[in-house]
Amino acid sequence: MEWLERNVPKLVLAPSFVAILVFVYGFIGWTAWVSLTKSKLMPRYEIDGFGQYGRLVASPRWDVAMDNLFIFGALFIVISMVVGLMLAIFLDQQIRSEGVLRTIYLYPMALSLIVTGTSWKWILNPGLGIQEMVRGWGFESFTFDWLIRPEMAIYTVVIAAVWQASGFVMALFLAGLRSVDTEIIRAAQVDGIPTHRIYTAIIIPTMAPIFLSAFIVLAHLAIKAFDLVIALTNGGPGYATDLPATYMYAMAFSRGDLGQAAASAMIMMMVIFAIVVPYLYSELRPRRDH
Amino acid sequence: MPILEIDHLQKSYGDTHILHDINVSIDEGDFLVLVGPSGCGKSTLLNCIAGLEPITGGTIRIGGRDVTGVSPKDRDIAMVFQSYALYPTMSVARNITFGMQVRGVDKATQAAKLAEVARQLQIEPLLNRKPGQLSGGQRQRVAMGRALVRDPRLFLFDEPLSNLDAKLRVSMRTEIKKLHQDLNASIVYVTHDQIEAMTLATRIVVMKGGVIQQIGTPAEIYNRPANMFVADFMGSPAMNLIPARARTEDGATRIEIDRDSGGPLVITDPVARQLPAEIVLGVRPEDIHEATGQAHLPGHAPEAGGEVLIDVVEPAGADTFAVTHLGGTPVTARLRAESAVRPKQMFPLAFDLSKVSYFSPQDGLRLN
Amino acid sequence: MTTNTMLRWGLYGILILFALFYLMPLFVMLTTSLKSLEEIRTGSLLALPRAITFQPWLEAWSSACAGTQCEGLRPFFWNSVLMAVPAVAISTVIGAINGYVFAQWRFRGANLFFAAILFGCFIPFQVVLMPMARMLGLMGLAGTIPGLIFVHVIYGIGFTTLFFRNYYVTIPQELVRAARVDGAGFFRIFFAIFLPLSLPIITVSVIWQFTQIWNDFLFGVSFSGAGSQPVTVALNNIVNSTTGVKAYNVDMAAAIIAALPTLFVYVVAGKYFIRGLTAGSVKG
Repeated sequence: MEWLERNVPKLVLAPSFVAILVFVYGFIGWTAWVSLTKSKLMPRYEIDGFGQYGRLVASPRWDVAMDNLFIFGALFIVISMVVGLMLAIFLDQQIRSEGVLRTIYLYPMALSLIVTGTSWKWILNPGLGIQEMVRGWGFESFTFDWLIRPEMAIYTVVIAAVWQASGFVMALFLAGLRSVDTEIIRAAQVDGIPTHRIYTAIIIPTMAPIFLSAFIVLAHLAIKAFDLVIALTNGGPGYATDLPATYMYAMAFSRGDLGQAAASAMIMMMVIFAIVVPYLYSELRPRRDH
Repeated sequence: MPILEIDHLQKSYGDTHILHDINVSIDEGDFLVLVGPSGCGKSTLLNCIAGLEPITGGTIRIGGRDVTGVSPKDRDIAMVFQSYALYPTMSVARNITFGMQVRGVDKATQAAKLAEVARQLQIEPLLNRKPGQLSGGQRQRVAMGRALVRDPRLFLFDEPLSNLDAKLRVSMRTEIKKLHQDLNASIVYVTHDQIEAMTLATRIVVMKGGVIQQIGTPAEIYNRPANMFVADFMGSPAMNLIPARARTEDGATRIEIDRDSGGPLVITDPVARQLPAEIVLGVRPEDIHEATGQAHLPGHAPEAGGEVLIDVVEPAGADTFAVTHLGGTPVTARLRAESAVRPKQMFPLAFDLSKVSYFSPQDGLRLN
Repeated sequence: MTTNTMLRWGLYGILILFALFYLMPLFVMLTTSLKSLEEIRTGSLLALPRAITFQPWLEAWSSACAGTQCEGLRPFFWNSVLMAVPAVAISTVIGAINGYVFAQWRFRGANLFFAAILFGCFIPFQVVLMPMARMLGLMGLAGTIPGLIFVHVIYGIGFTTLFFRNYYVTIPQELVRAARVDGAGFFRIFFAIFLPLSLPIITVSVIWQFTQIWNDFLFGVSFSGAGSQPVTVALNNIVNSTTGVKAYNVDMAAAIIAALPTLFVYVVAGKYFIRGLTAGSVKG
C-alpha cells in the first residue's frame, strides 16, 4: 500500500514514458539506422555506412530541395517577422476596433495548410486568377505567372506561408509589447523621448526573447512545411518547389527508396535540432526550482 | 510524556545537507517555535514532522508512536500553511469538512464539528463563500478552522501570519496564543519573525544553516543567548556586540573598549571571569543606561561606564535610542524618553554588567 | 490637417490594407464557390457573383470526385470527426494527468523526462513516418481510423502535457500538501482540487489538439487507406482530381467546408486558440 501510494505518480507517467521512448526516440533510432543501410523498397538492417547521405548530396533533386528550403525559410521568416512586428506596433497605438483587426490578421492560422494552398493556387493561377483580373482592368501586358515558372514558383509558397503565419507573429509581438512595464514607458515619456525612440531604444530590446521564440516557431514551420507545397504546387513545376519534406515523402511512399527517405529525414531533424536544441536548453536551464 | 520527539534527524538532497542531527522534544501543551533566517531549514523540518518530505536519517515520534515513514494522513497532525492553501473551488464549509469527508466521517458529525469550529473562529457568515471572496484575515481563520476540526495531537503552523499586514498580524498573534491556552494544544510553529517567536512560544528553537543553535524558553534565549548568532538574531533592536579586551585583575574583570575620542573606555566587572584576552561584549540596548554615578538598583554592582560621543538620537515615543560608536561598531542604547541626550555631544552611559554576555570572537560561543 | 491626424489616417490606411490582404483569399473562395463555372470563366476574380448558385456546395459535399470515389467530402468529413474527437479527448486526458505529475509530484529524473517530452514536440514527423507505418501494419491498424487516432494521441501528448504542466505549475504546492494532510491521495487530489480548476486549460488543450488534428495532412496522407482518409486528404484529392472539367467553384466550396470546423472554433473561442498558440510556442 505504502509503496503503491509513493509510486503512483511514476506509474501514471509510465505509459507516456514508454510511448515517448518507443515512438519518438526508438523511431528516430530506427530511421537513423536505416539511413545507414542499403534499404530500397524494404528495409534492410546491415549497416553500410554513409552511402545514402552521399547519394543524397549528389542528387540534383535534393540539391533543389535544400536550396528551396533556404530561400523559402529565409524569406518566410524575415517577411513574417517584419510584417508581424509592424502590425503589432501599429496596433499598439490605441487603435479603434483593434479586436476586429486582430481577429482578421490571425484567422489564417486556424486554417489547414491544404485549404491555404488550394485557395492561393486558385488566386495565383495565371488563367483565371490575379493576372487575368488585372489584364481585365486594361493592363493587357500584366504578367504574374510565378506559379507555373520553375524559377519563381517557390516565391508563391512564400506568399501563401507569410499570409498564413504573419498574423501569428503579430500576436506574439503584440503580447510582448503589452508586457513591457508601463512605468518604464512613462518614465521615458516624462524624459521627453519621442515615441519611435521609445520603441527602438526601450521596448524592442526588452522583447529579445520573443524575437527568439518567433524565430524558432517560424523556422520550425518552414522545415516541416509539407502540406502547403503539396496543395499549392505539388512540388512542381517538375520538382522546382520540392522541399526536404516533400522529397522525403516522395522517396518513402512513391519511389520506394527507404534509404534515401531515411537519410533525408535525418538531415531535416539535424537542421531542426541545430536551431531548437540551444533554445530548449536555455529555456529549461533556469527552471531548476526545487 | 513527550508529544513530539525528534531523534538525530538528518535530511539531505544528494550531497546537500539540509538538516544536521536535529534533536528536539516537547511535552503535551507546549508551543514550540522554530525560528531562523530564510533558508535555515525550519520549514523543511516542519515538513519532515508532517511527513510531507522524507527524511534521510533519524526518527520522529508523535505521541510516543514512531511515525518515521508514515504518510501525513496517518500521523494525527493538522497543518496551517503560509499561503493558507485553501481549496479554491470549494466553499469555506467544504474546505473545512474535506478532510473528514476523505476519512469517511459521517455527515452528522461533520456538520456538528463544522458548526463548533465556525462558532469558535466566528466565521459562520462565511461558510458558503469561496476562498477568493475572503480577505487575508478571513482566509487565515478558515485555514485554522480546517486544522481545528481535525482535533489532532499536534498542530503544525508554517509561517501562518507572514502574508498578513502588520496590524492584523498582531491581532491574529494574540488569537493564536489564546487558542493555544484554551485548547491546551501542542503546537509546532515556524516563523522568521523573532517577535512572533518571543510572544508565542513556550519553547524556542533557533536554527541556522540546518543546525540548531539553541533550544530554550523565550527568557533563556533572550537573556542567555548561546552564541553571537542567537544574540544578534533575537531581539529588536539587536543586541550590541562590541569587540573588547579583557584581563583579570584583583579578583575582578577589567574590560577595555576602544573609543573614537580619548583613551579606551574601561569598565570593571566585579566577578573574576577568566575570560580570554580578546572578547566580544554583548549588551542589549535596554541594559545601557544614562550613568548616574550610583548603583542602578540597590544591591547591584556600581555602574560601569563613561562618557561617549553620541552620533544619532532617535526618539521613538516611549523610548529614545541613542547611537554611539564603540570598539569599531555602532552601539545603541535605549534611554528614557525624557533623557537629555543630544547628538554630537558627550553623554555618560553605563552598562548593566549583571546582564551582559561575553562571547569568544573566534567561534562566537558564549563564555559566561 | 495636422501631421498628427495625417499620420493617424495613414496608420488606419495601412492596417485596413493588411486586413483586406488577409481577408482576400477567404472572400475569393466564398465568391468563387457561389458562381457558376461559366461566370468564373467570363468574370473577374474579385467580382461578386451575378447569380448565386449553391450547386457547387452540394457537389462538394456529396458528389465531387476524390480520386476514383465520387461521394463528395461528406464521408471524409465524418472520418475526420471520428478521428479528431477521440484523439482530442484521449490526448487531453493523458496530458492533464501527466502535467499534474510534472507540476506537483516531482521526482528524481522528472525534469529529464519532461525535457525528453518537450524535445519530442519539435521533431520533424518525417523522421518517424516510416517506422510508424510499419508499426501500424504490425498492430493491424494500417489504413484505419483507430490507427490515425493512435498516431495523433502519441504525438499530441507532448503538447497537451506541456499545456497542463505549465498551468498546474502556477498552483501552489501547499495545496497538495494541505490535501495530503487532510488524507486525500493522488487521484482524489486531482479530481477534487485540480480538475475543477482546469476549465481554461482544458479549453486551450482541446482547441489546440482539435485544430492540429483536423488540419493535419501528413499523417492522414501517410497512414490512411481508401475508406479512412481525413477531410484534408480528400480535399487535396478533389482539387487535384484530373477527371472531367476543372470545377473551381466546387474546389473552393470543398475548401471552405474543410475549413469550417476550425474557423468556427476560432471565431467562438479565439482567445483560447491564441493562448494555445503562444503557450505551444513561447517557452516550455
